[in-house]
Amino acid sequence: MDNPHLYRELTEIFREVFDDDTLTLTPETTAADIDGWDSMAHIGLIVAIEERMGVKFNSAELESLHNVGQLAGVLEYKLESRQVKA
Amino acid sequence: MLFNSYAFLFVFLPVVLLGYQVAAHWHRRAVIIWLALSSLAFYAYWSPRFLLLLVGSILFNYAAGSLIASRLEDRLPTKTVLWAAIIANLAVLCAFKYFVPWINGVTAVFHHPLNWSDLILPLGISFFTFTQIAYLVDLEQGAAHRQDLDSYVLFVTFFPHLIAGPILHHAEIMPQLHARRDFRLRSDDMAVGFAWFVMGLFKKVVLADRFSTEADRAFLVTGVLHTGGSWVGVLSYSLQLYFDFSGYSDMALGLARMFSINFPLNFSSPYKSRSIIDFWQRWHMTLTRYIMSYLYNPIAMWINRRRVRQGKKISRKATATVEGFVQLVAFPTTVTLFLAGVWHGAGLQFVIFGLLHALYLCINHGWRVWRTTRPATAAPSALVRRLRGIGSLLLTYVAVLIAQVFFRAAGVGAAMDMLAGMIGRHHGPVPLRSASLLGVNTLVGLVVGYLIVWCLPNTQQMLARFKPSLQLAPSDLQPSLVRIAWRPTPAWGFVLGAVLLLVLVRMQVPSTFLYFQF
Repeated sequence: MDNPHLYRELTEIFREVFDDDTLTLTPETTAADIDGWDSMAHIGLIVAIEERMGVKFNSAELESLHNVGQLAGVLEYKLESRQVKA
Repeated sequence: MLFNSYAFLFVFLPVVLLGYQVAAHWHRRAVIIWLALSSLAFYAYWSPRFLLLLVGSILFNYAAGSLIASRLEDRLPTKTVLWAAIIANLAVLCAFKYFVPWINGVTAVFHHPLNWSDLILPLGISFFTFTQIAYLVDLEQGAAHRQDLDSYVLFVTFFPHLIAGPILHHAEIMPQLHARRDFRLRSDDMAVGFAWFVMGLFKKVVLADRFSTEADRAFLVTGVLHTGGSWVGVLSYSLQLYFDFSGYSDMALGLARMFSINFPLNFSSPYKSRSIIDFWQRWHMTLTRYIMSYLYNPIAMWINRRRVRQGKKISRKATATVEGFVQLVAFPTTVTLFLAGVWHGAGLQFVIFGLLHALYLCINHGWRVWRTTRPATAAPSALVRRLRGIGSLLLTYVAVLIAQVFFRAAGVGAAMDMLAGMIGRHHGPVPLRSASLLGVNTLVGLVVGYLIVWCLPNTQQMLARFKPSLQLAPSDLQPSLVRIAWRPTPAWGFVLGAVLLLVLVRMQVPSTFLYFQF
């Protein structure tokens, strides 16, 4: 967890999407650990992250993001490259 | 060329294996080129004319892929190239699938291919079109790399999957073609691959072709059959379809394995499913995966984004409202299954097949969203759990069966007649008592068929110890009622040798596969 700010923000999004205020995230959290994180909810989750963080995912990226650590990694990369562009 | 033909078994396969072994002494590229050329010959054996179409499609898509990969953003947006290529691919597919049969007025021929040389649909066109579209989409999104031409040709044409899948994904096959390994034949892969192939051949030649007799007979006289005959016809078709496609997939995976290439699984005992969602994760698995990735997900993402723009919620709570459920679940499911239905054929019956499954899936998802959770203290006993499991299995299977009647019947009317017959509402005063449909042999055949389907392990479970595929399905981890494990022993060699002998005797008139028409 090298980016606590990112994880705090992700936790908020997860809590809202899955309607569970007790959720806590670690890089090792996977879809199997969270009740309701199936392939359908996954799309809602990704779009919620897009909305909140101002990034865009393409459908090829969807598949590999069923794990919080990977999700944070891709997100960090996207946020950084956006800063570079700006 | 059919896998279940003497020409394939005694000429093509031995020559390709031998050539592979010789090429392997030379260079990896020689192996790739040898397999690609063999696969093209495999296709040409059926139709030299359509070989041109296959080669044309490959060259076109390879060129489009190169254009996309070179990223000439400033002069030509890659999205434009991608869309133009997708439209061109789909136009050719639709022309052969819907337009040609329509102008020839021979749609019926597609459904009852008497002789497979009568087929006007270029074999495998759906499969090689889908595989290539996925590759282009992934190239555009940066999820695939540009390939050299020979690897690309082999990826698309490799004969075990060329005609009826499994639908391969470049990410799982390309690394295997490029791996730094010894490309010579390996005895362990040959043993596993050959065992798998013989099991599949048995399913096709001995089981599927046996059930096809009753299925064809019953679907020829829909509307006048008595209740028993209708059920025998529908159950026979259900088993025929299962053993035909599952047998084909076993053979495809086994053949690829002989060359030490692992394919993804396509079947995981789908009739053991306890829900429709479960069923689609176990039936034609690579198609489900494909339409999820390239159809359902993009549609669902588009809807979710639209809702966000409109200021509506997309949370779990929102999905549990009627409006949210319709938009977030029912709509993308229906569109996807509608297209999947239409892909299977041009008739209205295929639309109904797709929409029925869409309805089943919506009910299944709705159940998951709205069912009240039972208190943990009232855990049911083992017996109740078991009975509930059998109940869910049968309910799922009957739903599948009803949709299969539309899948098989010559039209919607014939399907409705068949369903009416199953509940005793046949036309006319005297139902047709087709004795051949209720003979002892037929009934014993059905019982044996269902015992195999419901009680025995599937082939990848039998071979599990030898890592038969890229990844076992989660459902394959549940043990079956009877446990059988293949081993490379003389006893198993003897058994499979006897099975092969039986198959060879039965195979004198090779029959085509049901999935070839798609």
